[in-house]
Amino acid sequence: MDFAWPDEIEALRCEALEVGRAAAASLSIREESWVRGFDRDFSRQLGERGWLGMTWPREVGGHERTALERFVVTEALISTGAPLAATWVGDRQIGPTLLANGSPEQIARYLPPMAAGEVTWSLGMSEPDAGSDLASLRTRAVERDGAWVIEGQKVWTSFAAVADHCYLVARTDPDAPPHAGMSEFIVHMDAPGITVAPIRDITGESHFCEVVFDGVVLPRDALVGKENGSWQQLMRQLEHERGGIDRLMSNRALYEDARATADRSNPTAAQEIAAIETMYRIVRLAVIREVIGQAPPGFSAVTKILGTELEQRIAQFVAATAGPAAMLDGRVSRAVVYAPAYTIQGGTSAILRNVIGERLLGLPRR
Amino acid sequence: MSTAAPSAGRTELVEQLDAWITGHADLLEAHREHDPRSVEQTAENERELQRLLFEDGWTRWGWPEDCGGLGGDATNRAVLYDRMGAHGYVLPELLGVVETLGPMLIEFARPIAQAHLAALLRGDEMWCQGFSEPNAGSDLASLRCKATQDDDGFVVNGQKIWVSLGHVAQWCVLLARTGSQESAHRGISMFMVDMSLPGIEVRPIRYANGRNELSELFFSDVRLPPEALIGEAGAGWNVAMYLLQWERGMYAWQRQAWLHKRLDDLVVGLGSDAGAQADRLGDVYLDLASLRATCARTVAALARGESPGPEISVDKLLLGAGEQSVIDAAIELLDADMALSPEAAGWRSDYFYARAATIYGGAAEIQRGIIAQRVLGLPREVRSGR
Amino acid sequence: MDAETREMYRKTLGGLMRRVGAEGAGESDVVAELRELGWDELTVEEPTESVALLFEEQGAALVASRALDMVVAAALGLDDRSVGIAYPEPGPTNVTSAINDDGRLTIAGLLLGASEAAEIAVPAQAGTGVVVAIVSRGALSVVEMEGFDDAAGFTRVTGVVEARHYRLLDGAAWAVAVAAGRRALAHELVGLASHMIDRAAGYVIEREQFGRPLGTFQAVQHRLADAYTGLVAARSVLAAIEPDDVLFGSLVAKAVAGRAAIRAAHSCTQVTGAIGCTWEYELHRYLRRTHALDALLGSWRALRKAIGQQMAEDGHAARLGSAPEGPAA
Ligand SMILES: Cc1cc2nc3c(=O)[nH]c(=O)nc-3n(C[C@H](O)[C@H](O)[C@H](O)COP(=O)(O)OP(=O)(O)OC[C@H]3O[C@@H](n4cnc5c(N)ncnc54)[C@H](O)[C@@H]3O)c2cc1C
Ligand SMILES: Cc1cc2nc3c(=O)[nH]c(=O)nc-3n(C[C@H](O)[C@H](O)[C@H](O)COP(=O)(O)OP(=O)(O)OC[C@H]3O[C@@H](n4cnc5c(N)ncnc54)[C@H](O)[C@@H]3O)c2cc1C
Repeated sequence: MDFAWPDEIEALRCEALEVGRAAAASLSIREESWVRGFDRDFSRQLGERGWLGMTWPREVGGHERTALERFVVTEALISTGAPLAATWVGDRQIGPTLLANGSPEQIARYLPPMAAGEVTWSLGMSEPDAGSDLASLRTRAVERDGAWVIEGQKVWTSFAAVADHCYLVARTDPDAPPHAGMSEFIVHMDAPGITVAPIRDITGESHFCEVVFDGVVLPRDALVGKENGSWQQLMRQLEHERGGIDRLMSNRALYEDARATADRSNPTAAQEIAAIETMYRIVRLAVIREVIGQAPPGFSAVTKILGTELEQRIAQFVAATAGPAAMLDGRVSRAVVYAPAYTIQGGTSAILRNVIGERLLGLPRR
Repeated sequence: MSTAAPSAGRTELVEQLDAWITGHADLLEAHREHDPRSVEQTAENERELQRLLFEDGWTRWGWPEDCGGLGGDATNRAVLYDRMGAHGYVLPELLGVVETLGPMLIEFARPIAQAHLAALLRGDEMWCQGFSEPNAGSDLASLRCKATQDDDGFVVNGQKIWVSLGHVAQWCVLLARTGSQESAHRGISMFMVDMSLPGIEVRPIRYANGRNELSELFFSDVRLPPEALIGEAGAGWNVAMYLLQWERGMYAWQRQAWLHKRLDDLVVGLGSDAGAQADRLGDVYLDLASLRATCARTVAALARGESPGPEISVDKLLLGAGEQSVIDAAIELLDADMALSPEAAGWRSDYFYARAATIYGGAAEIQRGIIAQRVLGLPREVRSGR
Repeated sequence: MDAETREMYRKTLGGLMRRVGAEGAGESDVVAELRELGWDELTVEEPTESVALLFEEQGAALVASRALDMVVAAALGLDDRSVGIAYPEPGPTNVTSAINDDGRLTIAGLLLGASEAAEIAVPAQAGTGVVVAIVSRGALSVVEMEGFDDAAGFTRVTGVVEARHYRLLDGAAWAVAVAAGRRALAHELVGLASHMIDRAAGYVIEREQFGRPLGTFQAVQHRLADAYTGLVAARSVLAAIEPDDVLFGSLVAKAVAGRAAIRAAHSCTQVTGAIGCTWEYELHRYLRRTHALDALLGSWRALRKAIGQQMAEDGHAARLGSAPEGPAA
């Protein structure tokens, strides 16, 4: 087995690093670039380069490249802090979930603009009373006169204020057991009846929002996949959401800067670097395992815990390296206050540990 | 050698003790570590020291006079433990149990304490604690070892496990069920059991460090006299809870003294590398200072006759964290020698024992549950309804 | 102080702090109000407990005041307790101002509040020792901060002052003042942690997921229990400081408190989920204040290093406090 990248992949990686560096050059903060780096122009550039929908079929705007090629490109872009937020949700999980579950019409209609970097998607799952317990969500989709009518409220919906579309999970059968009564929909954010209120996050920025649906009418064909079949579809979608390289790289740029200034004669700092670098390589392999489709179902829980807890460790390392003055203002302090979110967004570590215990280790369910 | 009256001020006490320790440096030199290979050998090696500490009065401070002590409150004992560690010596290993069982006997079975405490302190006797069972560990209240009352006393049948130093003990403080199985913690009683009675079988258990730290006890139709009962019949749970406070407080204090000594050993072991490891050493220190300061408060409260309540679980967590912190740091920082060198046998043994610091005396997970539910007021866990 | 008196003071101080907290920064002069309540006498009678109560309540209510200046000024022996203090810039060195060979004082430090104080005490390196110089506020210029914790009211200041424009404080022991400041800050960190834990506990008792309160999940219980354990440890270490060992004791206390408060902040954020990551929810303001106060007068990381270095130098570990003492005969 040869772990070195083949030449053409290495060349692609270097190219992506270069593009990423150029895109991030003017940014003072390069962390969380897939969450906070919103830049539509750059998104279109990515589309032109063929770096969106890389693995998708050509007829839907994709480029039929390998998952590994997508991996090296996204890894390089995030590591440099290139602004990916405008396309990230679509490229990471909505495209793949539509390919797996969408109708031919939906695929033909929604994937090409995604791959061109022209549209932003958001993810309408969480609700005020349905966070970890997603299956308890209450937003209703009722079939009426050949259309779907949506009533309810979503929260923490990243990018909702700027998104063109929302991938919505709603309850279609209130009488069925919770997991068996949910369906997925494509929502155009300009539909009447949608109110979006940005929520300021812990750093003072507002990428996530509250979204209220008040009698929003969706066409019949807004339904994705099986009616009441969302839970099974979601399990696969969440693997994309949790098991990817973004969960490892969020503050890599900051880390690299800190590593360059750390006092390596201090064994504590040196060992911390060694530990972080070791973990980084291990998690990276776990991600690659996901990427090439060799991870068992549920394994993304392991990958996300490892990746995001490493990101938090990195935040601590950066704080220690920068010294206490850096906590009073500036980039380091921002990164440190954001870090708690890593193990909450996309499924909390406790929930993922439950998944590991129950699905991977076969421990009894509580 | 003269002994200070316990009523003498704290400063004098410390001075006299320090002088005694310095004066006995030759004898004490052999007591910088327990024998890492064997419990039995350790007991042998430390017999003389234990007797001397008693004869010269140092281990008698802080115990009531009618029980062979010299009087004064319990904090006097804390001084001895602390100074021995500060000078780089261990306490006789068999003395550890006195802090878990002694105060309980004084409180609930004075005649037993009068008859046995001095013997334990002097090293003529050894006690052990028979609580856990194969199917009653964390869930101690589910224990099944049975003590049936009849006209002559009690008849014990059942099994105990994980009994520290059980095979070198002459007496066992036993928790047994006197009520029905359903009576849970209400139907349990505490006994002082003579290990030489017919029907008791003791099997040493080799612990992960290679020493016979633990034992398994089997009781078949063991007849106990009525005086063996400690406290009232059916009140064993309360007695155990009282005992646990001392284990959490004073035993932890004893342990912190030793852990600080171990940190000293680590610093010495690192030699000129110690400065480079300042961050890590400082981290360990914060853990140990947290432990020390917290059990100091608990011990003072116990000495005032107060019951610290569920918050005392904090002491247990800090003990587990502190012990693993210093021992693990040693294993990592002295690494080149750790796995093989004969001189590191003590560290290796400590390393295995430190794993148990978050298990024995109530596992860390259980303590966290107690703090969450009984101190912070979080709701009890919901049992899965199957 | 008996329990009843302590409770009374706690109520009074807590009431004051909560009111100020509700009014917002700058609305009231905490120090002036404390004086009116008889603070100066109280600190003479109960030097330890008064500081403990005041700063714990200040932390819990997230109030920023110049109370720390007052404590440090008192420890410096200043009669005028309204003098402001130019705290050293957080970092590896203990003081960041210096008196140069030509006698000029170069100042780099932090003030609490824009500091209404007319005079500022500046600890400064002079040769191998540290002296405390008094300068007028006007001699300092303000450097903008990017506002990590605006509400803490720190101001970064610099300045170069000619020898004839400052005077040295006689017999001032900066180390003693630092110790006093560290104790006060440790108490404030304890107050912050305590409030965060209470709030998070309240939250997980109320909020339900999977048909039961979050607080029934062990993952949640255990994180809060660990946070609480750190809090108790910080309180114990503060209580273990002995009069003849205040310098070291205060250093350890601030390190333990800083570490515990930061860990508590992380645990509390985790158990409150996404809400805890928002600007509206108050937790992040406590998280910020925790870091800001940790940075002052030695962060826990800097202090643990100092402890480790001391240990390496001594060849053994100092014992914090002596064995507990029993009830007075
Ligand atoms: C920055 C950010 C961006 C986000 N973006 C999106 C988005 O774009 N779209 C979207 O739909 N959602 C989004 N979310 C929401 C996210 O998915 C939820 O926050 C997450 O699922 C947790 O839900 P909650 O916040 O309601 O926490 P809760 O479910 O209330 O959990 C609170 C605490 O309880 C613990 N807990 C809960 N249940 C259990 C259990 N069974 N066992 C043990 N512990 C448990 C949790 O681990 C957590 O520590 C985002 C969140 C953040 C922070
Ligand atoms: C070195 C050593 C010395 C000992 N000395 C003595 C002695 O002298 N006398 C004596 O009677 N006993 C002694 N014990 C036994 C000790 O008290 C028990 O080991 C302890 O109470 C745990 O019980 P267990 O081993 O059966 O573990 P279990 O109860 O089976 O627990 C196994 C694991 O499950 C976890 N767990 C259990 N219940 C829960 C729960 N409700 N929530 C979350 N986690 C849970 C535990 O935390 C632990 O991690 C000793 C043990 C050791 C290791």
